[in-house]
Amino acid sequence: MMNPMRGSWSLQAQKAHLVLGSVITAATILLPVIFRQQYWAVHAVFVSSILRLAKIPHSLLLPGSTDGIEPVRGANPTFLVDIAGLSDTAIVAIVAVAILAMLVIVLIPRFSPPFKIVLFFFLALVLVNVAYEVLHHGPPMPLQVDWLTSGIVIIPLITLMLNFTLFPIPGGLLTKLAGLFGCLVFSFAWSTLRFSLALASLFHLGTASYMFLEYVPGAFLDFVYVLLFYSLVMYQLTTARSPQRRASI
Amino acid sequence: MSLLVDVAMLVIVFIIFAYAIRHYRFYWNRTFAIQEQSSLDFVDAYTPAVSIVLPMKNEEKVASRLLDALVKIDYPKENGRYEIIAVDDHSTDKTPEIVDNYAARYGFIKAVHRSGGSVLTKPAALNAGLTFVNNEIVLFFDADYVPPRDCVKRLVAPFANPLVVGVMGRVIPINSGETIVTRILDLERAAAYQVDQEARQNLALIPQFGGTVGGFRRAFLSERGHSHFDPYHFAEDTDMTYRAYLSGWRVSYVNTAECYEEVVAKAQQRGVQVRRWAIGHNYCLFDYLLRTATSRFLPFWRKLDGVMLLGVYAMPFLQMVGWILGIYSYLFQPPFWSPLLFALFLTLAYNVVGNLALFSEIGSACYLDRRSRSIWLLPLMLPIVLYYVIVGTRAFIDSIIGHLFVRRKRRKEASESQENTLSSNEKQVRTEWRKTQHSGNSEHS
Repeated sequence: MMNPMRGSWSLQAQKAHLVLGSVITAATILLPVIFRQQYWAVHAVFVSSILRLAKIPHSLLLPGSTDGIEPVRGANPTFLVDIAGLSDTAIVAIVAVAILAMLVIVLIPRFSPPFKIVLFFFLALVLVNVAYEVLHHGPPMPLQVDWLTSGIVIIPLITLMLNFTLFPIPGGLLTKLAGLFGCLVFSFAWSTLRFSLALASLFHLGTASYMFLEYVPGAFLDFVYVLLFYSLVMYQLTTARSPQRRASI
Repeated sequence: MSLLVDVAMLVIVFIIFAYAIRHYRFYWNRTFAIQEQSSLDFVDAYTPAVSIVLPMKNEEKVASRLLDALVKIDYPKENGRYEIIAVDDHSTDKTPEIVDNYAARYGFIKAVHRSGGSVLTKPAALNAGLTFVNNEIVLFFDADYVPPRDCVKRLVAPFANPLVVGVMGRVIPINSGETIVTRILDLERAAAYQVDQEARQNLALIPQFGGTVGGFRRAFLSERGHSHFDPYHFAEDTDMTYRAYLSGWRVSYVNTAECYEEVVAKAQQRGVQVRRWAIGHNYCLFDYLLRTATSRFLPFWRKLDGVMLLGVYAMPFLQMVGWILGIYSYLFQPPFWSPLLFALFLTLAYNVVGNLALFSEIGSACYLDRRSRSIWLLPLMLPIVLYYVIVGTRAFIDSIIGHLFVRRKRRKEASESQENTLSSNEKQVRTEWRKTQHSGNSEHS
């Protein structure tokens, strides 16, 4: 039985922490806008390093050094990568495997419905991306590091959300800052890795998998790790508030 | 066509964004604002005569637990001021014997056995129980609930306010450690009651009667004559909530009136449950949307909350439509911003789907309840969210079909015959209990 008065109490918001968090939020909105080119350049260099490590042949065009080739558009860092073409046989095989996998998932009763639906969801997205491959031949447009591919948009979203949901909660400022900056660093690392993976898949597997890897994990997994960091900090704040419970849990 | 798709997507994103704002508002108010606690002053001081109606169908595993808890309730029991009406509704197990046994042992317990009647639904069982009620305040508990000793006096306290005709208490899972599903439902319940309902109470919006751990004034229930609850409704609780508000009355939520319940242990059972609630709730959407939006009794914010509350179970359908439109934009004539919008859509969508409270609400509820380890389960809610989208979409389509082809026909027939009669075919389909079978498993039993 927990405290019977838990139903009526509320918390004193830590306004100083909230103000500090708001300053950080404002900074994470303004700085990426002002220094976006520099951010993209750093991001592109990291991606290029990962691609070299993975032995993916590519060229990186940074603004101001075109090596005799104009970037595809704008002045953003641009990658030149050979794109694998999917044969008709491969497309048929992918579709067949995806549909077969869907059938297997339906027929296996041991899977819980939520996990069935998650697997179904991803398989359906594979089919959507194969359809994209069939409908839209040719290289995908966003081979540049830009708003969509660099993960820059998620940075202010992360600070905005964590500022609002974590900073006013009573608890240590260091814990909150560590959670926030840990999440931002992870976000940068993840967006770099994701774009590298997408470019590698473009080289090995073609357009469909590139779009799949670039956008689908971006939308979903961003929130999984944000939630993980949120959970981690809330856990620390809650246990720090009631130290007698730490031993019993 | 492309413009139409873009406009439709923007409208959906706007609606989902509005729900996200609503959830953040609730989180902030519940976590940091001073909570309205006027009813606490009346606990012990205001003890009106109360009747408790217990609808039961094949509840042999949990009936004794509930009746034992209600016998031990801390409430004045003399002179008929506390009575329990246990309604056995066509049970085929040992429920009738259990109920009779308790009625023989305790003078304040009445056993009601329904063996006839054409409508075998929970609301019909409640109506049958209500005909035996003698007291001014009527509370309801489902058979799988376990009220603590102070539950009843906390629940009746808000009735000291003459504007309050309904009340609702907090529901807490008793078997949260049973499976991963029960653990996640524990989080959902915590957010839904500790944060969502309490914030709505605190902001003077529309706290909702949930069908159990709550009740109404008998005078309000009697306004409908013999049929107090709509016997065919899947969400008679939401129906009664809106009837109260649209008549100028209020429903009060009491966060300190805690009651323990047995939640379903399997995702599939949860899906069936959510689908049933969603269909009923969507019927309320169709019935009350216009009346809520134009009600002269509701101030602006209460009206807005009422409209948004009605639309909660339509959100998964909107979500699905958004996904389909997103895929269309992706495959055919994608505008330059469509990938960004798609990502934005998914991002926002994660937070606000269906009846699921925002992760911040859950985090806040865990903090207020001082439960730290439960917070780790938050990321596991992603598959549950996707599951609710599918279940909710199916329920929304079912509710549209049911509203257009079954309910209208039934209402027409009822108005023609001036009584609630159904065709024999409909009786088979629509007039049975839709319930979860309870196991009696619990940590506290």
